Amino acid sequence: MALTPLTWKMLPPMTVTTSTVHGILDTIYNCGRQTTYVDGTLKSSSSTSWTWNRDNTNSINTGSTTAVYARPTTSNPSLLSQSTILIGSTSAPVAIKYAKTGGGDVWVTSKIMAGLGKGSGSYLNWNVLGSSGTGTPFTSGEFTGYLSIASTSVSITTIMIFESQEALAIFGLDNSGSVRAGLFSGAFIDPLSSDLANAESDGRLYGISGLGAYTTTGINTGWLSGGVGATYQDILTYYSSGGSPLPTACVFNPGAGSVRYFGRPIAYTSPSSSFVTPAGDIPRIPIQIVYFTTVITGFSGQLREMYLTRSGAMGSSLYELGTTHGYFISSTTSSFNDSILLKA
Amino acid sequence: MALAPLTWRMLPPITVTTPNSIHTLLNAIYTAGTSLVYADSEDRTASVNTKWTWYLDNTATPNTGSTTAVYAEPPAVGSAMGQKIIVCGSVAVPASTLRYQKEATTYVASRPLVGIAKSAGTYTHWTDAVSSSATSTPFTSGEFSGYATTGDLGTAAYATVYMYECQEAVAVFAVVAGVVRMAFVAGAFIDCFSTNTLNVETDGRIYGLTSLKNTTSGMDVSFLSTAATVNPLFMGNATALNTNCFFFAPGLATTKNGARLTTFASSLGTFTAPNGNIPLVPIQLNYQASGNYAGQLREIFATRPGILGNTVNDGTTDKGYLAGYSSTTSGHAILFKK
Repeated sequence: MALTPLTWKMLPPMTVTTSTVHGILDTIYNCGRQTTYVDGTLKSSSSTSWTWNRDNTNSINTGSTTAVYARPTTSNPSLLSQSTILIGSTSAPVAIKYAKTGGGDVWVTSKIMAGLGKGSGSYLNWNVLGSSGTGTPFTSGEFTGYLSIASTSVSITTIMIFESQEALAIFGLDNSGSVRAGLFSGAFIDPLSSDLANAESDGRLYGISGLGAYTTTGINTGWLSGGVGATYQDILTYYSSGGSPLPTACVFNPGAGSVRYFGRPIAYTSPSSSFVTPAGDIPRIPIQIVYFTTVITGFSGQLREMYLTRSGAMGSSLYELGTTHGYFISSTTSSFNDSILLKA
Repeated sequence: MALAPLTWRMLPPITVTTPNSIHTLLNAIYTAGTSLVYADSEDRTASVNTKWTWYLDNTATPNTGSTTAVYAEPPAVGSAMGQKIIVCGSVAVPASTLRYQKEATTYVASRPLVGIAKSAGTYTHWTDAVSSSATSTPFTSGEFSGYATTGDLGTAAYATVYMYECQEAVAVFAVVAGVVRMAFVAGAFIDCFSTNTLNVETDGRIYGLTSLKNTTSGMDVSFLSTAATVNPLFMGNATALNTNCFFFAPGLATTKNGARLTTFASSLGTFTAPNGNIPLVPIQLNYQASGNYAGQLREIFATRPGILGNTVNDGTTDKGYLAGYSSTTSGHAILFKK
């Protein structure tokens, strides 16, 4: 049976004043702590609200923000105490835990990385050894390890954050409006099953997906034409091969601290602005997810209130007769390209 | 709003009798369509909501005395727009050029033809739909799609016909040497989730047909990922040599080509949940030329790789029927949900 539908909300975009790892992390923190959504509703009265904190006292770069972490409001049904954390530093950390095993996506000074904890205790320190214990930055629980969501080799000038009851999405854009940073984190995959082989004890799957750390390009304009085994700069699909650094996407194995990579098994032929019915209705097509390494190894589920739709501009609202129906996630704010809609 | 869910049923597979010809194939389709029971042995005569009625014509020229056309109409629940399906062909070439869905189609006896009509009157003869009249139809009235190819059975011994039916649509597959050489799905199998008459007919449906192209190589093993040039289902365009997928433009007699929006990974690997659950993934269709959204297939899902004719059963209940490129080897599969 399907999980309770999520409601996605967008926070007002925020300008990055200093495009360094510290400056970008500060902007993410400040963006997440705004008090209203773009639709004017108060965050404090919304079940979608996440609580944002930062670490600017870490000895690795004392005085600079090296970590931002967030968790959903305790009043919503995130039963497994998930926490999302984003990190970056100009000094090398200890051997932290990475989501992608075997190397290929590790810390460098120009990267912003992210990880997801479940059963998380309080924040402790992100700069902890991953080679011993769980490698979690929290006092307890399991941790995915870190994966790349951006390279600061390109100038990121705007941050966009989208929150829902159980998942969040963060994007960074350059001054031309192209998406250069991307993250989905939380319970955004519905396994459509309560069997403990398929889902956690709360019926969810907890996962994280990062864009990687491309230095020359962001999300491909036709990213929905990709999927497993493709070579597009994608998000929501794990890449097993190709140049580094690449997108990584994983979920916790139900009931365990280990992770499993995932991707989209279906490519969509770049839906254009004509991807509406003859009467002009805008379709919302569910997106399926599979476990994937170099081959498909199982069916994971379906994205929660994240739909394939007509082409759109990044961050645009789908608005009709006084009602916001959702927000477009695409490659750029400057033209219409492959989009998914986060349903409001 | 979604249309009422369809319930697909499988009919007992029918072995094509000798001698090998288009006529014996049509007889096998007729025999399948007039079975008194379903493949699960349930009495078909009592299944008034899924049972299509099939007729045959063995009086038309050419090849008078042999079956040259079989046609079917849905049960009352699926007949709001008077849809009818016709499958036809003859060893001898018809006297007049037939009215084809794609004008450049050439007549070959090993290539069965199929067409769909709406608001169809009484059957006359299959050869009454001729290229010289853009509105001609094998029925006394109504709109007709023109004949589309369904594949090429070649010269090898025809083997088996598989038929599936539901309240508003029907599907037929014919196998030669284990491989599907002929296939079509026809009827109201697309749901646009709309009642706007720009999107759908006045009964909320879209009436269409998808079928294979003329090749003896058969349906493609990865037919949920390949282009119309290869030999999938649910992919169509205007090129005569390619596969067919078309539907009536709502309220009109003209047809529009449809194309699958969703391109599945060519190798679906282990496409089951960790506990073994079999996913049912909806399949979406676009208007091929404009890129407009047409709708979602009705209770026809992409699923784990499988074999034509197999039944998915959860241990106690039949959940649906698999259709793929082969009756012996696993490949991409769709599930007709029971």
